[in-house]
Amino acid sequence: MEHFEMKELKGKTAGKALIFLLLFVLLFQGANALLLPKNYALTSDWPASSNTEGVYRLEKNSLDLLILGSSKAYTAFVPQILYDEYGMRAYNLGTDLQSPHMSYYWLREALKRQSPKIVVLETSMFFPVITDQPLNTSEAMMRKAMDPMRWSFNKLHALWEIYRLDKTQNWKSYVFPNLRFHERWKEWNEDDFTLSELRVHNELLGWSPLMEKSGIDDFRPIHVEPLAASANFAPYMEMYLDRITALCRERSITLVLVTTPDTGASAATHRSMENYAKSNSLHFLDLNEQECYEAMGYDFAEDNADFEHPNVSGAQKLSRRLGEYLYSEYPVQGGQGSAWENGRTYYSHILDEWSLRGKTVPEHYCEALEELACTVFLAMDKNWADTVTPSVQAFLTRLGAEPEKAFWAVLENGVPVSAGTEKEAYGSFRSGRSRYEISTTQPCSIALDGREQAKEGKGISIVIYDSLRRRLIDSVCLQNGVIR
Amino acid sequence: MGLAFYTLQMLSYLIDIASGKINAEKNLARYALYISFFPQILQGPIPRWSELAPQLFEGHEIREKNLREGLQLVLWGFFLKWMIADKAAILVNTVFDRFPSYQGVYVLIAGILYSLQLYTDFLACVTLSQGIAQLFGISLADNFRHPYFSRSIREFWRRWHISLSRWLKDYVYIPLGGSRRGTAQKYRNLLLTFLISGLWHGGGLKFLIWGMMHAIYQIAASVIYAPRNRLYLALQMPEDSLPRRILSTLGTCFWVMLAWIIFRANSLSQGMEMLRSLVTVWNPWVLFDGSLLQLGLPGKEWNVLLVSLAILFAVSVLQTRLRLRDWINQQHLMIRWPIYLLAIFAIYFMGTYGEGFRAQDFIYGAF
Repeated sequence: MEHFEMKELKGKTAGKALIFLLLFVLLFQGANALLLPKNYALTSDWPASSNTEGVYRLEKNSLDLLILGSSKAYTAFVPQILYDEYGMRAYNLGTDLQSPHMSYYWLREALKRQSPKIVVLETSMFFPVITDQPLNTSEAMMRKAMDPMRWSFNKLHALWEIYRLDKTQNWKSYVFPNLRFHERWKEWNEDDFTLSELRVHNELLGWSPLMEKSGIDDFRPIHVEPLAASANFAPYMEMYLDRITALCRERSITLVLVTTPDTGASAATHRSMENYAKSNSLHFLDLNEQECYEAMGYDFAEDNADFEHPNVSGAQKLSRRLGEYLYSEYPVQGGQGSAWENGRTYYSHILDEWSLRGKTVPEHYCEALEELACTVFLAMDKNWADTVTPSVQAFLTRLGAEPEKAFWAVLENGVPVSAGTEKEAYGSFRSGRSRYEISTTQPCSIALDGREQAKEGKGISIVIYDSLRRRLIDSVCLQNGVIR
Repeated sequence: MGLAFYTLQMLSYLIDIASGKINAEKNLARYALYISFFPQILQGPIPRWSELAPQLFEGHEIREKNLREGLQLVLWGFFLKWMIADKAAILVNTVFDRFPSYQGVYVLIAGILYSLQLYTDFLACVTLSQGIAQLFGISLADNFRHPYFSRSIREFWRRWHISLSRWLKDYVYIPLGGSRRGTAQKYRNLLLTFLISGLWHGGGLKFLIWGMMHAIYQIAASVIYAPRNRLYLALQMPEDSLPRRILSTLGTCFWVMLAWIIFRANSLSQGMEMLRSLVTVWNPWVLFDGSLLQLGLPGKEWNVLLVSLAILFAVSVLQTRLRLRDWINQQHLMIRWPIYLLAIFAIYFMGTYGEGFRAQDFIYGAF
């Protein structure tokens, strides 16, 4: 009897221990998810997490075209354009400073579930970029690409290669990310606690739209002289390019090497890639090369967000050029894809935001506000009517503004949800997650989450916030028929 | 390597045999197990044959209570090490390693934090040892009994590193004659005992001076005992009054801290300079102008450190009134488990470990 009771007691203890262990493992998983950096397309312009995790969520064998490369690739090529205009179901699997090592292992990973007919590989990382690192990329960028990869022999192999070639990296921290990231609790923000919301949004299929226009004015596309010297590849990069070439050949995939407009490219790098392409019977499209560049109508100052990444209009031009090239060289009979069909609305939303930034006439700007799927904040003092044109006056009157009275309003998707004539107003938006404070006393103030966002000036202050993408879209001041 | 602890353990075994207190163990395997019982070999506590050997040889079943209490101790050990000792070490190392850049109040803050770092670091290691031993059903003796609650240096040494203090008392101080042969002899014995204690901690002159300081503190306390008592009575502060208890506890902590500054300094001369700067450099504003946040420990880490110290204080106070592990064990699962999980994940997220930190070896492992 006593023996039986003892046995029962031990069984009970073991059961409790097991439940505790299960609970612990569950929480441990959650804790690790909380610790890892979040680079998702919804809230970041550098969406390595979305791009890598997203490839697992694509319908099996649904890809015609896979794009690999650095941020220059994922800011340049728009899968929606390639699908809508050229019938190719494309996915952009670029990540920040993606070295050919990472491209190779991500290609292997993608090919487990997909069988694309074409792989486009952006070439900037073949040449020295991070020269003090053995794999030509920084440890942080390597982590961005490798941490989201699911555990498999492929990942182990990739990590082994990292460890073999770069002894400064801590392989243990790839297995136990807390060793690398446990300090992140100090920078936790909304993204860290809304991971499930971030993960569902990958409508742009790897493309990241940059909204700035900050390219340099005196950019010159390259002109390759017949006797131009060639540049050296960074160490190990050619080895991985050879592996990518061999893998594509083995799977009967057409590999296309592509260079985007970039101040870092030169005739020498062009010559190297051209030589490599020729000797391996590959195709090489240099969008940086003068003839091609001019044919696209590319304007580096207008079409680039900085000295190396295209903005939305630049990406449209580059995607169309790539689409035309691929369509003429390797016509692909792609079918319908739900991911691309479903992404159209989101893509259109991005284009609306881009278009708004390009408006220079107040009337057009106000018209666009009525259509925009965003949260708009307006603030103006009692003299507002003196500073605007009649059509803008009409727009503001429709919202409830009256002459000789100060006015503020909050619009959701073009519709006023809150408005008044008080000097001070405050409230919340994004279902209570964010707060605003508005002052209609000159100079008007619009503070979102405690941060002033209104542009200085004596006109009508307008702040536009994309509540879905959690970011400020624009802040302007309408004054005397001018948008400032 | 833990050689210092190992050596004292061996010596106590041999002396006890020679004095007839215990019999020599004839079984080599048993002797080897006693002398190399792994949880305590690195940093003690320094066991006696009569306390540890019977537990080692009697055999133990795996029991839930032992496993639970062992893991509780391990968790507490990690808390002490990663939430307090290694966080405090960042600031302490900055001030001590970059002296004379930091003087005055910086030295005071570093001295206070080093006192806490050393305590929690050593306590962490001993607690981990106790926890691991407990998993096997073996209870190792406590090596600390809230030493910073002591009201005198003499009491401090009854609460700090208890196994070493007992060793020195039993094998050095008492054989020298202890306090039985007059005041002068007692003072001599104290000086010799603490000289040996200093030597045991390291070869540098600073350790000798540190040991001497503790001997001198006790001699001075003995010399001024009567006039000090008269002063307290004149101030209407009897022995057990709260103000006197606070004053004597803070006073003891202060003198101990001064000695720890010498102990931690990179050399004796640096230690003396640091002590001098406490009284010659006037810079109290560094407490308020954010300067303390520039010592390698950012604001959020400071918050974690201060909250952890508050937890340590609360636990220490509770431990003086009850056995906390018993209290936890009596609680319902729905209270116990959240406590465990909260502690585990607080350490997991906010502990000082991993990349970006130079892992701190256990300080007493170096002696």
